[in-house]
Amino acid sequence: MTPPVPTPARPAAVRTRHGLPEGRPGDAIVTVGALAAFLLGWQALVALSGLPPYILPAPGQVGARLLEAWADGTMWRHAQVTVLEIALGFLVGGTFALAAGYSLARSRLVERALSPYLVAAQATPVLALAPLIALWFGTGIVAKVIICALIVFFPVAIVTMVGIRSVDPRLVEMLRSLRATRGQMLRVLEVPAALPSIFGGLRIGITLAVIGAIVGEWAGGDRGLGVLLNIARGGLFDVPLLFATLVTIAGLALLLYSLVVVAERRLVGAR
Amino acid sequence: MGGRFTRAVAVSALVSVVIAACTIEEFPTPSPTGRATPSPTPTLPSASVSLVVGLGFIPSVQFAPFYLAEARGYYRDLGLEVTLENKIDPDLVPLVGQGNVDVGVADGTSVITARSREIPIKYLATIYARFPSVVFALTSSGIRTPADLRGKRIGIPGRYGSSYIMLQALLDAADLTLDDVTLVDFPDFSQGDAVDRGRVDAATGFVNNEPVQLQLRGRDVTVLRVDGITPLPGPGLIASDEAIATNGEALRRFVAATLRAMDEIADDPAVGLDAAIARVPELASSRDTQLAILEATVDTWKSPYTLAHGLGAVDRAAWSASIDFMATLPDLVAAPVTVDDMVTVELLP
Amino acid sequence: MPTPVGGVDASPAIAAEHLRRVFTDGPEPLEALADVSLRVAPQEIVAIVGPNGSGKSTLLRILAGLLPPTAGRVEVGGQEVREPDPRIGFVFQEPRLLPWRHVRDNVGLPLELAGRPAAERARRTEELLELVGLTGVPDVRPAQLSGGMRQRLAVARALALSPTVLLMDEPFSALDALTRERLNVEVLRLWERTRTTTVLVTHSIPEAVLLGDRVLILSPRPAHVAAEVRVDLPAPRSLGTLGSAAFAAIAAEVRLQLELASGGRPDVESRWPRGDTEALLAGIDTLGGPAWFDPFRKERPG
Repeated sequence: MTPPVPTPARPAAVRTRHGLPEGRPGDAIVTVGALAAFLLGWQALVALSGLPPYILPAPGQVGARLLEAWADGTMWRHAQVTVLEIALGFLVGGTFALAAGYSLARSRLVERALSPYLVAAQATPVLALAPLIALWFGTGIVAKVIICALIVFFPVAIVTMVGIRSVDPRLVEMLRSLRATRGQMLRVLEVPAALPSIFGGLRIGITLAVIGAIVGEWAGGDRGLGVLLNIARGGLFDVPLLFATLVTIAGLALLLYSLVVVAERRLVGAR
Repeated sequence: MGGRFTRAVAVSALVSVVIAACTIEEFPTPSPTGRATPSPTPTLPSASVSLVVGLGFIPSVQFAPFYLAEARGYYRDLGLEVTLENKIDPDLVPLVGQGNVDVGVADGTSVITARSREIPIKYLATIYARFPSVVFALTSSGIRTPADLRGKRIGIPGRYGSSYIMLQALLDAADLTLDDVTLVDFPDFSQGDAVDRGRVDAATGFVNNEPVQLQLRGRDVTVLRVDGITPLPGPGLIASDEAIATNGEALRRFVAATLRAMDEIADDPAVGLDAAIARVPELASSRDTQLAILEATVDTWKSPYTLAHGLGAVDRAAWSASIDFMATLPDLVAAPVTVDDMVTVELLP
Repeated sequence: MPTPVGGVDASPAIAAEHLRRVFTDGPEPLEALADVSLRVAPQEIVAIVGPNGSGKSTLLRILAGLLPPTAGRVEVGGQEVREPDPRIGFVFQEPRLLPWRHVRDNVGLPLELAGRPAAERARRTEELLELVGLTGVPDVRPAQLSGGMRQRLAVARALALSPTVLLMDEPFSALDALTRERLNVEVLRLWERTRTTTVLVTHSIPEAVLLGDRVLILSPRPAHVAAEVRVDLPAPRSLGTLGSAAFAAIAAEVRLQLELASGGRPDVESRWPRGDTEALLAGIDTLGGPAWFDPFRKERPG
């Protein structure tokens, strides 16, 4: 029989050097605190500047209008269209970008041929292209998906190219020694090796897709958060609704971004 | 044009000139005749007053009164240094309310909504006495009344704004709603072409724009106007409550000078065209078209009310009826408002 | 049980005839191997030593089919080798495990690529782990294991398809001396169970003598086999063998031959190797890369 081991006293809660609890509780406090500071600053700005509500509404007004717009279904009616555009655009753009990035990585010829056009396309502001695309493809969801796909394409293609190129040649040799086929090389080595880089691009891409959808909706459409922005601003002079829509757009971007991060954690994980 | 109109124009023109003359100390003239309550003529400040005028659209022959007044020095003679801003500005109404822009040209329907949202602006003078936003179609489409719009494809530039309200008023007259038609968006404002090519059966547009263009191409065009159905207030001059209180005299003079130019153009559109071309040389390449547009524009300045009361007069009864109608549309009248909240006739000559 | 290797007969497991290799992708052609011939009998362990830059790694890659010779021919089990072969297992200087895969998925990789079903892969993987002394190792990612354990996994992976020949390119040079000795013993124990024909490239003379039945000494570039030393030490060998007089004598002989072959300049590395990636990386490892360039982390303490 071994003598009983004395249980150590429970350690005091670990605190960071700012005096906050470590880990999740600490993070939550910081997040909430930052938000509170932002709202207070906004309120102070409204009070000090004396700007009327139709120029700068107070946070409380915006919050009330936000709740109202969700409650009566206005916000969701527009948001669901925008979400669909973003999802489809991201999917389409991302898929093409992965394929393009891979061929750019693997073929110097392809890279030399396509790079100038890719860079030129990226440099052209989507805002300028959106009306043209609406002209060609109408003002329905197709045009918005195309705009989103275009805006997502370049960054994802580039990070895919970089990721594939950065695969360790020593691992390539190891797989060659195991007689891996081209397809096996892709599946077993290149894709997993490039995934961290690709996900970096996907994080950027998803936020750009939100921008693309909104900009596309400005070029015309009957529903969508971008359309609601226009209606609130130009038709209804409802500035609290305008701000509430902006808050919704920001919230949507945050939500989609965190979905990408979750996917990244699952697929890439800790290495 | 009837004799009544000519006389009204002549009287307005005379009165405008005389009032202008009276208010400039260097030119003493006999006292005016005609107007019921001549406004007092305070001392002109030695420095001229500068006014920023937001016209709300890109340079166009429809702004000929402003171009003419500026070219002929009507503003200058009244001690006004006027800056005309020709750009599309969706925020014009709030900017006027804030005082960043002194005078704006804005649609009466947006004034109603803006005032209901507590944007402190007032409508000073009517420019378009007949509502310029219309539904137009090729005559061959067979559309002659609002009821004929049922089930049709209608092109619109966007889901808000004066044309959207006008369309709903037209449909309402035939007991129709937006659900009874198919709306097609043309955010690039190409709905005129779309009607021409038959991509849509009808479309909303400005009476001095698309229908004129189509007619010049030799098409027979039918125009559905909302004036006889709901007397929606068209574009006019707006200013903030504060500007009216502190700068009222300058605004009054601005209105007077602008109306004077309008009268002259109504008499002879060619002078307006020349002034517009002088300001915007590109218009010279399509002189005939521009003249047709200007004549159609002048036509909208003249409603039974302005014919009776002079260009620029504001029909308060029509405004009341319009407020009542717009209150039936969702979200457009956020709080109860009356005509007095948003219209002032004090600055009219 | 591991597959018994070919019969113990006169035909060699590996036969290399007049191998020559010239690298032409640099500013001027580089002749790494001039004329190398060797034979390895079945179940034999042959160690190859040589000065740095003498093309030892190049030779091993040609034997593996990873590099084609400019001239000459390689046969394994009587069949010519021109490309990687399932009968040949290769252990690199670094473990070269896929960092995002866990232990068992790494070891079972050759079976997966060969299309073996999952149940067979699982069973065989456990056998291999037992072979290299890692039974019950937690199924974590390689980053969480020590350098020695990672290299053992690399050896296990190389044996996955029961190769007749095992080629090892300085497999322990990235490890500390103590771990290296331990793994040397592991190789001996492994061989006693599998009896796989082995060719080991090393620049450690004690390692070469401890493990090898013969030690081949390569000359500097352009290389040929300068000398051969038989290692007549009794089996089974162990760390104790390192202290014996016989061991010291043989090691001294190898060292002498090495110095003679190098023309009195044992460290011939005067030129940065040009050409293909392996040569470059070999150069980096030999001369030592910058502190941050250590993607396959060397063994951490403890």
